[in-house]
Amino acid sequence: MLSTQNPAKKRLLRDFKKLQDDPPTGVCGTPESDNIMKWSAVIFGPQDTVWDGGIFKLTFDFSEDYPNKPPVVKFLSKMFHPNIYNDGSICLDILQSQWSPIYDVAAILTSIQSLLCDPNPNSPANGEAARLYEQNKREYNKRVRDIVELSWND
Amino acid sequence: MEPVNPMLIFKQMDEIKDEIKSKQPLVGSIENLINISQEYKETNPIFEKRIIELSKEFPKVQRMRADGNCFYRGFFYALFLFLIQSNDKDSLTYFQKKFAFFRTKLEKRYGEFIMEMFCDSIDDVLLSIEQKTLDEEKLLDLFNEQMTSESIVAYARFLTSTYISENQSTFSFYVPMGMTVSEYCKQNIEPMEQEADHPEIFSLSSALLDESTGLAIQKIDGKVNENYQTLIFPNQDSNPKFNLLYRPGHYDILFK
Repeated sequence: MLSTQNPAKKRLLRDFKKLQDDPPTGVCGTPESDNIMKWSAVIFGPQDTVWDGGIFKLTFDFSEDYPNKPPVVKFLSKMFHPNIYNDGSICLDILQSQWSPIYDVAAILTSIQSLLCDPNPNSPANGEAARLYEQNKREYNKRVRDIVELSWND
Repeated sequence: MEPVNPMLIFKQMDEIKDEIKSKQPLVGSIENLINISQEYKETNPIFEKRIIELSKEFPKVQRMRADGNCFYRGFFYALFLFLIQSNDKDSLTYFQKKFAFFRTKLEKRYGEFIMEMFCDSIDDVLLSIEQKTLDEEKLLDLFNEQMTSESIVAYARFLTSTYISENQSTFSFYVPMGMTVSEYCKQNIEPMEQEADHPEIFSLSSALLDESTGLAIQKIDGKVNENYQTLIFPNQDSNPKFNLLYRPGHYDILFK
């Protein structure tokens, strides 16, 4: 009676329009042609950082409860980062306990982009990356450069 | 040593949430408050006694799911129920004007696109109350519909956050040291499932209610020498039109 037709899809169309009309620097995202509940996205490594030049692919899986529940976001590209698991899952508060329906796809992508250069060593998802980030920046940077190069071949 | 995988913790938290979901509707049916007192029989005789005392004035209770949204959901459910039951045109007009006023503010703060579905969920309910197509039974169904119910909760959070942000001098007292009001709202109010506390109750009541339409919270806690405590919002002189029961960490709706 009261509910309009599929609010999740309606909101995702708007997220897409906003991404096209007002794209944040260094990220892009688009729904699959036959399924608006699944998106592919790309984050470019921020310029003048160790991530510069990287082209990192991600997938977004939305449920019918979006935007009241967050999407499942994963990196497809191999990553080396304290808060990213080997399977590409991301440990980021706004995608879990701090989720709020005010976040749209653009906001999620820019949050992940800033997570790249600003890891949170307190909630490590990759123990080795977290340790190197804290104790051996040189080696950490080298490992990041390796996956930046790897990202060109995906 | 490998760090504890936070994903596993999230998974366990999700399992606990799923268990609550499977056992508890978002909004339950009306039941006898005395039922709740019996749950404390073995564990907490003080609570048991206080709930029995409270049930003399409020014999009925309607339970909210314990998912961190119980205050926001309970507040809006009780407010809409009051509008349906009182059948008072002036009250309805008052709230329609209030919500129209806040729609403009929320759209300005969060963006029109983002706010539309949340503001619409409120306006739809008010319209069906006006057209008398929404009765108590349908309101209960509506609040147990995941999408609508969560959208109303989200709306309540955005309104609470906006009101606090616009009245920083009143609320900065509640914000922990070293945190800005804006950080507080972002971390404690806007995310779903973050529990409401005194500042949130004060904010939402101040935004929507007034002297003639107040909210009373009947508070039960472990303090000695007190039966239950009545707190009235937005201020002590307001005339309460609906009642919530507070037990540590949880809110339900009370009925006389």
